[in-house]
Amino acid sequence: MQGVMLVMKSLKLNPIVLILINIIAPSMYIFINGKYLQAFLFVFASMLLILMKRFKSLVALFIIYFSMMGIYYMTVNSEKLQFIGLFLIVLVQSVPCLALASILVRKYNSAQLLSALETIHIPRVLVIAVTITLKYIPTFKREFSYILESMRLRGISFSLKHPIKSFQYFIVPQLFRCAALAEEVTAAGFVKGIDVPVKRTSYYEERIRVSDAAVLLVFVTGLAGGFLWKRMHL
Amino acid sequence: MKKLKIKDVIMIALLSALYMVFYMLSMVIIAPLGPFGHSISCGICALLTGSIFFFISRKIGKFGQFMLMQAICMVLFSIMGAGYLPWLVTSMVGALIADFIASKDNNQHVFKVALASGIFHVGQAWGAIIPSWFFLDSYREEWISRGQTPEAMDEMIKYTSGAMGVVSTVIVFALSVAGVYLGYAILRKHLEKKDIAMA
Repeated sequence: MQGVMLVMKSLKLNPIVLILINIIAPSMYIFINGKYLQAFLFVFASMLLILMKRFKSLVALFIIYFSMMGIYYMTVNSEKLQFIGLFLIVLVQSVPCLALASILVRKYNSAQLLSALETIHIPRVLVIAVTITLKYIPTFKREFSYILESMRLRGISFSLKHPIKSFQYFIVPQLFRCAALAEEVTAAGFVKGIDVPVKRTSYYEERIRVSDAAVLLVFVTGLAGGFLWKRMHL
Repeated sequence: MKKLKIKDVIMIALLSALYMVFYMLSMVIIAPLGPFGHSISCGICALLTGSIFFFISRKIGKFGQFMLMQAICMVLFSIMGAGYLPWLVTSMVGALIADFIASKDNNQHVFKVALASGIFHVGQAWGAIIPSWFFLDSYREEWISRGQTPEAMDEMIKYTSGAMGVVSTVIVFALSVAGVYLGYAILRKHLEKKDIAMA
């Protein structure tokens, strides 16, 4: 079985499929039983991660999901600690969607995301902005380590005794770094004709393939199962 | 009224990424406060991100800057599976009003920026407060079906409905205003004199 998994080619999906699934899935809680939908999304996300060979994300999904559920069951009956469990049980429903969103951030480059987002006819300004934000969020860990390193070289350290001063050491360089980065990204964008008011073509022309249709079909079938399940239990 | 250029859009996108990081951090900070913390989480976020708000108003200062920032956040929350229609509507209306208040140019009085931040974040907070005031039953049912327990939902509604909804609104607004003044105190010596002449 392990051999088959290694030989099998990684599933390629149009990023728009993942975006659509994540937008549609949470709104289905109105129509489908919450427990069914949560279980379905967990299994569905796990299967996609396996097929796309995102094994590290799969392990992270299992650890985070079951840790949160474990803490919920341990604290829900305690009057003093109940708030932790009740807070986590709301967050846990987003974990499968977050796992799918992590694929978007890590697997696809900006050009692929731009190309895919442009197919759903949302304003171009928003497409560019969302793509940049999506790609920039994971870099903050590195940015923060740069700030810590320069603080260490200057002999400055974070201190809870001076929270505002410490906050200032972090936020000021980060804000001005964003401003400088905006200049660089804009220059790179101009070179690639980001401001040209015509429909852009891309090296990564993301079309809907059979695999995309199959994944969407499984997703819709799962949701339809949820409708039936709810009707049967009414 | 000046229009947003590509460079402005990119800067807002990068600063929105920073804003999102603080938003997630504020969610962790408010966890020990339980349902009450949840109802004022936007205020905690606003307190931490007042400097981002002030920086945007000084470095960009064009109409649509806050709407774009809010739209980016809402799209990202939807992609992460946390989209909720009433939240989207109240947040975007709040951002539109914020733009009318403090996006005329990049030299707006710090009080106007603070007021804009207050409205912007009250818009976010009203995503839970407005349904509690006007659509209580459907709001409660939807979140119970999303996995929330009826007891926890009742506890949450306690802090977002009726007079407590007003109290939460006032707290969010006050924290947002304080956040911008904190940002102003932190950034004033780092920004050029002309940027803070009006402040």
